[in-house]
Amino acid sequence: MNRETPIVKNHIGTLGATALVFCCRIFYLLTYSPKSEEYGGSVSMLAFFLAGVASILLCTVFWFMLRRCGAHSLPELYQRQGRVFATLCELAVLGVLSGSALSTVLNFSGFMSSTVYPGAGAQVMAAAVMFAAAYGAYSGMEAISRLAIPVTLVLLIGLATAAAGIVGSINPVYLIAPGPEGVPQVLELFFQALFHNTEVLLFLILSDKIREGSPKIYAWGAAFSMSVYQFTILLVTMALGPFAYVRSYPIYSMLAAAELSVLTRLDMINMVIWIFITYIRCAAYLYCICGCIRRMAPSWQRGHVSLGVGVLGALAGSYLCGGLNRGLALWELWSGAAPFVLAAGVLLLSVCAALLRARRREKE
Amino acid sequence: MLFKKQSQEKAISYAVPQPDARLEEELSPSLEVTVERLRQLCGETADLQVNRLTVAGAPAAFVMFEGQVNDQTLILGTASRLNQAALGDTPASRLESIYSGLFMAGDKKKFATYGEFIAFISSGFAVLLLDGAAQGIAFGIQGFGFRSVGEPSSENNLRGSREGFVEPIRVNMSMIRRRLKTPSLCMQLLKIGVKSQTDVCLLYRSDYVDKRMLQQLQSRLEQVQLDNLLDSGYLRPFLESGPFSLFSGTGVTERPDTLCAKISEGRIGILVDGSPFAIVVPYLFSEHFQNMDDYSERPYYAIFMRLLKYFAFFLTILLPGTYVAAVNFHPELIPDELLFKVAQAEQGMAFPLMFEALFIHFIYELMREAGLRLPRPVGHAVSIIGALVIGDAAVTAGLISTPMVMVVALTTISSFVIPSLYEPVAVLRLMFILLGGMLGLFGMVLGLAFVGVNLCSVTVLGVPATSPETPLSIYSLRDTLLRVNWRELGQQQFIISRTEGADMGEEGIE
Repeated sequence: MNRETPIVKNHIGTLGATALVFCCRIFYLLTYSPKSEEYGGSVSMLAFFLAGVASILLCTVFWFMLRRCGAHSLPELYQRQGRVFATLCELAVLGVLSGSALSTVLNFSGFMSSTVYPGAGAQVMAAAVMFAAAYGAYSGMEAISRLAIPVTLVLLIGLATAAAGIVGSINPVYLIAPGPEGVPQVLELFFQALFHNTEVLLFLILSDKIREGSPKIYAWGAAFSMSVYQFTILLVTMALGPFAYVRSYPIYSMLAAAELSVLTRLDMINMVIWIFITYIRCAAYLYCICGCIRRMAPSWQRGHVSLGVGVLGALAGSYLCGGLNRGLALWELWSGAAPFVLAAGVLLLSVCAALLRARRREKE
Repeated sequence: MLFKKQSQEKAISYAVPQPDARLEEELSPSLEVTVERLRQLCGETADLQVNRLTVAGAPAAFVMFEGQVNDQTLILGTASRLNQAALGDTPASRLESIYSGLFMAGDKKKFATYGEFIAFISSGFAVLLLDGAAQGIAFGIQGFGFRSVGEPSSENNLRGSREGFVEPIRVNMSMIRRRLKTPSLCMQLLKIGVKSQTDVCLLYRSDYVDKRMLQQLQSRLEQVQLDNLLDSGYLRPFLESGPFSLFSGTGVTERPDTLCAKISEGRIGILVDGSPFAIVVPYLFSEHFQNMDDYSERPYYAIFMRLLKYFAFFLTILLPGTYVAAVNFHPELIPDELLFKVAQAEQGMAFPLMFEALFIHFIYELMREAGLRLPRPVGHAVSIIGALVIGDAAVTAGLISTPMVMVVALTTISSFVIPSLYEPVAVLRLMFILLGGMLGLFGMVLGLAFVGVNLCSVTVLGVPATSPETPLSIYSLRDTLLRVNWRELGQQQFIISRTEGADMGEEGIE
């Protein structure tokens, strides 16, 4: 009797993985706001560029450290250090991933309930996104990364349409170089953008599932997202000028003002794109959360874990979106150094522990 | 006690299909014993024919089921020759000389068990039994009636062949062989169905097929646990991804030319005896938007038609939901003139817009089902009653508004453009109406993401159903969204192959 050859490992295609990194990293563009003239377009562009480069460097360094320890991904590295260490690290990672998933939903629901559906309940939106993303997590990372490819294409087409619609309002005079006095602002925004970034952690968790998984994929995704950031901020700065500083969501405002022939509502394109991006980011984080839980409790079934994560995520998302103070608390924590410190701390701790152990073995 | 009895009955009625051990018994050397045992096994069935005769002075019999054998061939080709031939002295040597030299039947086989015996006579073979020989010879001289080869009913084409598959598997196999005159065309026969023992034929090109894909399919078919296999549709769930997937990674075709084209791309075809529909594995999502006419028409027109079909797909699943969402949540999206007319039409309607949409789609599905199952003339009458009487009356009575009737008409016409996707389309349409009615465009887009990830998770035999769009293969796009000229298409043959590691394994649906 012929038997099927069991295949236990998934392999995410390189293009899919790049698109996934891109979609996850681009999310915060949705809520980009320069707030004041000191943090205007050119300051943001420079800061985001530097933050992108720094994240690529971080990813490369950590990846080489992983490989130095003989591991292909973070979970593999944890498992090698013993059960207790692995559980502690997984719990820390779970915390970072949960915070990222919740802050994604919080940001998105806040945007939707304040612009597209003024007055609508953000709780329902948060719960709906979490449930749908939990199904994405259940479907597997391969499905999510495959979906990321057309979504990236749609985003690029949407941005190109927006650019075509706003081209008449562009005025390069609004683009001012930061100069030496703008360095503190650039640094502030640089750290903010870097701290926000937990995609390095996501990539290092998934790296053994990616075909030819190397930091090149992260670098491509990050570079691509940086380019889109630069392009969009450039558009916003030149099209809206000082008006951008008084808007909560200047990109949305720019698209609402854009007109292209019969298309008079480009803000709807914006809405469609960001729902897809939010879905992919949320699904990717929930998938990794499910992975963490299943590594700690291997007997739990994938479907049950996904359902549980979906329900808990929906409840937590609804709770946080229910009151301004609750949401703000998480937002303040997450826009600070917490995610970066946690993610980098976990990464450094585990890699150092593994390296120390390896050195001790070599001596013995 | 009562509960105990019920549970016992339940256990029996849901028993796993088990093979009948009696069928493994071997034939007896005595003709009478063999015939009697056969009668017992067949439950004294009325259509079992035993025609007794004498061969070289010994008793013999032709056994068959009534109406399954061509009587003329039996008399002229086999029975009349038996008396003229010089046969051996022992029953075994007589049987051997009859088998090896006497008859030139296209398909003849020796067998020794009752299981094979019943399988042969059920397939239209005439079986010759000789007294003293514990074996029988089956002659393939089928003469049962079947529908003649005609135009496929579900895949009409403007150009190309008019032949469609019929019910007998051998006829279907011959139609494929006639089109692909290559020694690499392999046909592998299997029997599936514990009781029905239905013939199933795997068709593939040995030079193109991915060997691991073939091996995986064979092992899946071997694990099929079915009592009876009466249609190709029974097999599809055993080959597909998980049960929660809206889309299938397998396809069906009624056209031999389509199946030949698929086989020539490295796919595997499955024919099931008694079914005029062949299964194609793996079947990509983009193939739902292709047909044989695309390859007979000018490329620019084929591209136009394909894009039209993609547009029709999105229109049919999204239009009613978008209409409901736009009117309820986003009136700013509708131009003022149109919004005014819609508001006027919706004024005084009995139900909210979402229920109106659900109601009319429900009525439509009812009428469609009634029209399909009834005899054709009555089916037409149902359509007329549905369209004119119910439709007109519902609008006049204020149950459905006229814009909604237009939306539904446009939606249903669009769904006919891609008939192979009707099942998911019907469900998705209702899902999007509910999402649009409850959450507006936000719900619709979230639903679209859900459908997207569901579609992306479908992987059959290591081939993602969404390829070559995602995972992207730019070269392969020349015959998916586009259809380039035959000069370019013919330069390099498209061969489907596994995406290494794309089996989803533990992680995904499959």
